[in-house]
Amino acid sequence: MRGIKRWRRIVLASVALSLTSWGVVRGASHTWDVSEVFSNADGTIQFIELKECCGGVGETGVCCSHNITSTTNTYPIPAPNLTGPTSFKNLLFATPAFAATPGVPTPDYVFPAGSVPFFSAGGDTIGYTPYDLWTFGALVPTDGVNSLNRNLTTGCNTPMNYAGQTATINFGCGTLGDVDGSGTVDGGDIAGFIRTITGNPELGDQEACAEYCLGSVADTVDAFVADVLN
Amino acid sequence: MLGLIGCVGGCEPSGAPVDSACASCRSARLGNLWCEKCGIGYVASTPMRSRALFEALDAHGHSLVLDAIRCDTCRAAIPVDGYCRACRIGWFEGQAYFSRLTHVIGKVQVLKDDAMACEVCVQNARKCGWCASCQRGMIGNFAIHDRKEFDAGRRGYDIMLIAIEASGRCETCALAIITDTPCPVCRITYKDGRPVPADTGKRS
Repeated sequence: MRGIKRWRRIVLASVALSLTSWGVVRGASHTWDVSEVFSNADGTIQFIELKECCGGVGETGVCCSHNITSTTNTYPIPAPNLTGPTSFKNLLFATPAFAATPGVPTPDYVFPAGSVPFFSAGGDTIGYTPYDLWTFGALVPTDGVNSLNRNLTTGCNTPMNYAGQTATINFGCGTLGDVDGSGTVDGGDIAGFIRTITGNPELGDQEACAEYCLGSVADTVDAFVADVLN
Repeated sequence: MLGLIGCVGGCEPSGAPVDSACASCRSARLGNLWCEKCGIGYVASTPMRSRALFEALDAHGHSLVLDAIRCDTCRAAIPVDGYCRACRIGWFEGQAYFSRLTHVIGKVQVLKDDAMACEVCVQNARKCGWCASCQRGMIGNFAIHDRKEFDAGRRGYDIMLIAIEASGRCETCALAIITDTPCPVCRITYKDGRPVPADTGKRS
């Protein structure tokens, strides 16, 4: 019986291959999941990242009948379809203000200005319809640095586009290290920096300016010290 | 709406008429393929004009990296060619099928009409049905010998018919119907082929 099934699959594959040349078989699109969302405080800078979850090489058919949705907005994904292989790749959807920020990875798709904010950081349902829906509560950080991941962890934003470009951007601070908001990074920032990285910020401390997103306290301290001394 | 109700119990085919003179359609009908010439796709031998619905049904197995599959139910289903209800994925020979219907027909043999001596089975292949004599169910030209599997596939077939009918009105609804999700255009949520009160889907 198994031999018959394998012969059937060989015959069907041959038929499919021959018909592929006539353009009858196109890319699939099932295995993309919403992986990360980011928003600043006023929702003007947002991104939604999808990730191909499962190693599917031909999940290229994301356009044209699929949407990115929130409770309040629907974005039809426009043509063309992707070029494979798609295995474990990311797709980046973002607001115009995100796209205009120097240093960000180029979004694969940009929401229209009329759809900003695209989603509510206070809680929403984000969809890659019809295949994936993710509902979250008031978990999205709005400090301009951290994002919410699908596993509900938060951390420095890590937007990645289909080409694999990625960057972590601190939208919540004009000058890293300037914790006292004076406009310069100097000795006046040290106390606020220490309070922030030890989890005890005070009113007036620009907490986002202590977030270097380097992954460790030691590296963060080194970077801050370098900025103070420069 | 009456048409929808009729489809759920009756296992009746619907959709675009088939040009049986088209060789590409004849091949596509047996292979779950799209006929570019006629602009018709076939899943379980059932024609549909919606390319979006045809691609969403996607009756062919997907080769994924099995080590990347994190769902415990899927991981248990993979070695036994089982189905994960949570993920709506059926597994067969290590490949993923994204609906109960396509999982059922993906595992079985295709029988051309002239390969069947039983007239009941031939008639069942026009739509779907179970032949008590042959102990064989046909969903289109796909032959299923396990009654439970046939019943599971038939439920998926009925929902596919509802989606085909809806695709003429709203393709996004059609996709929502086969995935039990909301249509973002019409703001209708579907479950088992029927509109239901809005739900917000997967929760974290």
